[in-house]
Amino acid sequence: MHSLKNSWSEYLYLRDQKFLIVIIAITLAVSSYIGFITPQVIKDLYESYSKPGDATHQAIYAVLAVFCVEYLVSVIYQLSINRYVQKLLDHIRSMSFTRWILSIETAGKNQYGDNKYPMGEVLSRVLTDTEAVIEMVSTGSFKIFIDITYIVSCLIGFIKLNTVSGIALIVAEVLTCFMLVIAGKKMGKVYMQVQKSIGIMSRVIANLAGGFRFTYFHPHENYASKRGYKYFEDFLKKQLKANIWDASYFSIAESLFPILLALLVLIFPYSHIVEVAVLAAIIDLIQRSIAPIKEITGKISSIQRARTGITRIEEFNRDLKTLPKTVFDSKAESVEVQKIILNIDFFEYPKKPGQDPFNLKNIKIEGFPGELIGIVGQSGCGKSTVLKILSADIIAEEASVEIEDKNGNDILLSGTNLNEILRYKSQVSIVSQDSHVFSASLQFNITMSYEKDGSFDAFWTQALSSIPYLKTWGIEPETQIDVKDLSLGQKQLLSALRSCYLAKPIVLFDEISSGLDSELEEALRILVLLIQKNSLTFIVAHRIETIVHANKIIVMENGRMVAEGHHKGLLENSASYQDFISQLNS
Amino acid sequence: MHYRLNRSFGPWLLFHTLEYWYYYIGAIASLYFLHHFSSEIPELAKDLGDMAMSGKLQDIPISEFFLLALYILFFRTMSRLLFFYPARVQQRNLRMELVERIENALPRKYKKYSEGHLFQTLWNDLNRIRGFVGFALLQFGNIIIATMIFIPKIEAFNGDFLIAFSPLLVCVVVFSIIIYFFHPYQKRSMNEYAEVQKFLIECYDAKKTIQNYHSEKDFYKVFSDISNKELRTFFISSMGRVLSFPMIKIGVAISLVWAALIVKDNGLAASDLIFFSSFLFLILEPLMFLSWIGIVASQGFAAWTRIKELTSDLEEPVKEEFYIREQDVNNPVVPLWDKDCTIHLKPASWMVLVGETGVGKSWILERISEVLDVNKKRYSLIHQEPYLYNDTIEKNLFLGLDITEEKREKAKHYLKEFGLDILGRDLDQVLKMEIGENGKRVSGGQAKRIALIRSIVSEAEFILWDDPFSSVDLILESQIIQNIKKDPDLRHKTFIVTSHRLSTVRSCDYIYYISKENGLEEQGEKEKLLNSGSLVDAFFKKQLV
Repeated sequence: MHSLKNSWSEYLYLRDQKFLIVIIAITLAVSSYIGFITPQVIKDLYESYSKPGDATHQAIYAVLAVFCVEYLVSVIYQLSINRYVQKLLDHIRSMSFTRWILSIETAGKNQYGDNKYPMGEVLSRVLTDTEAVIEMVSTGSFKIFIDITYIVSCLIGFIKLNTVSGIALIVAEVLTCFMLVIAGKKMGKVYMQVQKSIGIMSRVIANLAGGFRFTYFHPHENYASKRGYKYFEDFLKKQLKANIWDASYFSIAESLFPILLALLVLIFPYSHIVEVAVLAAIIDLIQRSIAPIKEITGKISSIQRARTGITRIEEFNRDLKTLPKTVFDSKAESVEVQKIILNIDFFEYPKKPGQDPFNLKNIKIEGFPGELIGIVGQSGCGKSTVLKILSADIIAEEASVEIEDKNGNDILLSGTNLNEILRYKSQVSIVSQDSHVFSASLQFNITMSYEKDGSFDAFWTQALSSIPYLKTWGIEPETQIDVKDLSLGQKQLLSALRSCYLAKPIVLFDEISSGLDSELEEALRILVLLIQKNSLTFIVAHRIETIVHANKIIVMENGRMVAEGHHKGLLENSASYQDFISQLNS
Repeated sequence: MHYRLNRSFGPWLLFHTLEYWYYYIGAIASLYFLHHFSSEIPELAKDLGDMAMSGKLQDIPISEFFLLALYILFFRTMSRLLFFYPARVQQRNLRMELVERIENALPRKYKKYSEGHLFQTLWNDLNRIRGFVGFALLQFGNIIIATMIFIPKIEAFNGDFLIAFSPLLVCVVVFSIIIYFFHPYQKRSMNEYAEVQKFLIECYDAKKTIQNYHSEKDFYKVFSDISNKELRTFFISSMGRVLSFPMIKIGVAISLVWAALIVKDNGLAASDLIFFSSFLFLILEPLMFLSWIGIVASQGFAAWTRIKELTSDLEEPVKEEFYIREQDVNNPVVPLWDKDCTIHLKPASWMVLVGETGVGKSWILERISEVLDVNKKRYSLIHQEPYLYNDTIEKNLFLGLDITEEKREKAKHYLKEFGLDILGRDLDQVLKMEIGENGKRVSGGQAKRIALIRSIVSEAEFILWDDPFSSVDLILESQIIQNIKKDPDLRHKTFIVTSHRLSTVRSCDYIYYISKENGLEEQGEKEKLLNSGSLVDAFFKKQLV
């Protein structure tokens, strides 16, 4: 419990915003003072009528002054608190985002790199959970604190004028609040159902909206209307029920005025109010206090929502803290690769019921800088798993990758030593279908940085001159890429360009299998050659042209390495390779 | 049948009010009684003051206060419910009408509306209409009736007091102006929020890539910038509220002070001021919503305009020549790259469209479907990436059709034949399986096959499949085609498919070869066109290289 409290302060207290906190405290203090004198000032006003001379005017000025100060205080309070919340949200979001983007998520025991949190989770924790706090600002929920401070001070101030009716009023109002909060809780449940129904309905509508233009071309018998009706009707019923609650709840609050007046009459025999001024002051007080009472339930529930939101963010952050992470500005250490050795003794995927277990066994590949190593085989032979192990997306216990460095700073990826995983990963780049293309400028997509870097221009000039397709395509560094308009091949071209620019010592290339037009295919071939100049390149190939000139081709079948060699040699000696080639042709 | 959404805003509103006139009469009456009874409180409060002075406290009937409270409770609740009910029912009816109309309109008519746009109209815009009839009308009526009852009462008591309300009124107007002025910021902040969300989604998809290239800091900066911007806008938009709401309090205070002066100058009793302050309190509630009425009304009007635009597009006949032309259903003429292609359909056979990617095969299938549609033929087109609903497999197969036991058995038969029995323990379980949003829980290939079965269990005579077997292996593909050809229910149906695979083409009866340069270049029997020398043959030879 204690640690939880400590961490709450981490989320709610901003060290660099002390000034705002002080202002908020001052406004609250002033407001309670104003509240304390209000009943007296009102009483003075009514009393002044029976006094001679200028007393009334003075009393009026006093009333006016009190209300003006209250207005000012209330405005300053809210501006400060909203400002504080703005800073606070900024702080919380940045903190969550930073922790998340730096974390290396682990899914399962030996698998790094898969996402532990689904997208919805990240979106809620970084963004949506702060929404409840935002809503508190936009509905003015924070105002309730200063309002209650004011009203409570008013009530206390009134006790001085007439103890019995003052206390009676306090008791009555506290009881009313209590009852309203209980009713409000019930109403909250009804509203939760409505919210749930709204959520489902909006998802159904979105789902239907997507299908209209497809389902029209099929005998659909008004599927959308039938399905829609079910959910519209469900929502309607729940909403109408909620309306009954909501209308009667606020009506009760609205009828408080005559009820409290009746209470006043009821205790007349005990309160001995004989002055019209005291009576006027208490009526004024009743009127003043009804608004905050009406609002209290709504505000309490929005405070609760905000609290749950913050708690969830806190849990998310606590969880993230336990994950391994990288740091900002991590630069890859410069390694001069002499040799790379991949060794997979054994690897098996976790078994799934009803499926045959699939494993990799005895795979050993050696590579040298400047080489192009092709990995081929029928689909399901395990070549992408090899690539995943090479990229450290899968950490297999009985496998290792070793990078020999000229200066002796060897990297040995073996088992789950995180430091080595990070060192290793920084030497490798991947071009695959998963490589992300951003809806941003071309330059950003290649350099992955918003800072302008001189080396890019040189790279681009070279790329333009060696790859004619780029001219045909007509893109320029400033062109905004629209991912929706890209074909699979174009996406791969962009991520290959990126890998070429960043020139890591090792590049893993997962060629796409679908058809490409000839120009794009040529462009990708040239790019592979360009990448090969700087890096040792592994390529899972789907086209003969890519591997014809490879330094080495690994042929895989059923999780085993069945042959290794050059194109010509394999074509003569390996039946599996011949199969693969003929399949490409069919 | 479909007339509600065809009206303009004004006539529709009138129609709506007349449709539910008894509710609205009841609602207006409730509002009248509500304000009538609450306007008695100030006098009672004044009496309290008088009696306190004269010491005759025992004369005050407590029951009268409680009775008033009861009346207020009842009539206020009634007035709300009577306004809310028609608005909610209307919302459902309009939504149903719109769904039905979109569902049965040629997709070409709403081509310019994205999926998101349709959702916005069906969701937000209809909510806004509800807001207008359920909220704006109620508050408008509330203000009118309250002032109509209060003013004569105050005037009868002391006409001078009326002028003292003016500070409150002025403050309410200022309040409304401030709200109105800051309102756009709210929308801006919402848009900026959506941008932060979009960025976060992109970061999510790209996290691996970002980490792989050490760009975390750049992304942090961008996130922090746009998130900060959004929060700033949000802060400004909240300022409207902060500045405006206490205005009401200030208005009340000044009005009270003014009335206090009137009491002094006219030599009235102190208890008269209690009377005034109670009225001040009563008028507050209706006035509080004044500013929102305008906003909600303008939003409602704008929403109606957008809905109207969509519905009139749905009504409007398509003007392109293709849709006006008289078409022979057996030989539809399809425009392709400025040329007309006449496709000779061969009933009860398998036809296949062949050609390079992007040549317009899917386009032709859709146009043929439209010709069939106009001629009232039963047909079923399954797109290259078919759409599955977030529903059970069974519902996805029959799409609104009444499901009989016989049909269910048939569906089970095909599920097995298409290799989908592996989805569950047994076929009944497969039928009951929920597919999940956007076809989650099944792979793309399985989704495709579910859609293909959707076609053959429907009563369509013409079945059009766009690249049906791309994710099915060769063995299963030939099994499926052979079984369909043998099936007594399906043998006589006409299949039109597209394919890149020689194996599929070999299983068909007629081939149509399409090229970008010359449109439909060859059509004819498979045996002829697969001989060397034909364009089809050249096409597949080229693929082999």
